[in-house]
Amino acid sequence: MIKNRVKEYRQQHRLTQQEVADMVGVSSRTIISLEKGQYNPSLMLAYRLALLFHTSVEDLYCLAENKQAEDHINENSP
Amino acid sequence: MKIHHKRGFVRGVVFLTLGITVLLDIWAKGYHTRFGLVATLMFLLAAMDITRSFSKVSALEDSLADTDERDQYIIMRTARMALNILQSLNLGLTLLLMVLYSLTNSPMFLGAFILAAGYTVLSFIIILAANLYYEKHE
Repeated sequence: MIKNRVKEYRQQHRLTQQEVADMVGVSSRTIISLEKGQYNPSLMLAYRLALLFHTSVEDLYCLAENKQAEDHINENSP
Repeated sequence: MKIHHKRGFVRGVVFLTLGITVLLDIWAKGYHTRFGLVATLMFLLAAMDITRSFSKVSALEDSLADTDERDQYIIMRTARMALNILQSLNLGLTLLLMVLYSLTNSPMFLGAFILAAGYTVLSFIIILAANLYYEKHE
């Protein structure tokens, strides 16, 4: 699962998980799973979240860091 | 009054129909406690589903339960795992019945083996058809 900054941005905007869920059209359980990194969202959901928090998907989901971590794992795997 | 959740409304109508059918059965054949309980349950479920289908807030909750992407993802994974388990169990049962028939020559085991093998073949055909459909349309 990939690292993300959903919780950080949500707290910055002083929103509850339920409020974020209502704004992006999913259940609060989905937002909880997203914040814990247990669930990877669809492209559209990631985009809706990025728009909500006035940021980019790359920043919200730390794509550069996650890509580096993945490349590192792939290099070290047999 | 507007129907906000059509699927819930249809489900309610189905429960209502079942409840009426049970009542007709009671009228035709006489009252039994279990049928009375079943009819009561059917009418309660019908009332709940139909009422919820007219409520905008409830309809929104129900439709969210149907469309939430994580729920759909979990349903898909659950269905896949359940299908794999069922197929493995059925294959094991088919082989076991084949061995039991070969040892005992009992027609009972032969019949059960044919049923189990038929189910295995049918499920394979259905999976193949579904796979071909999604390969073409996705």
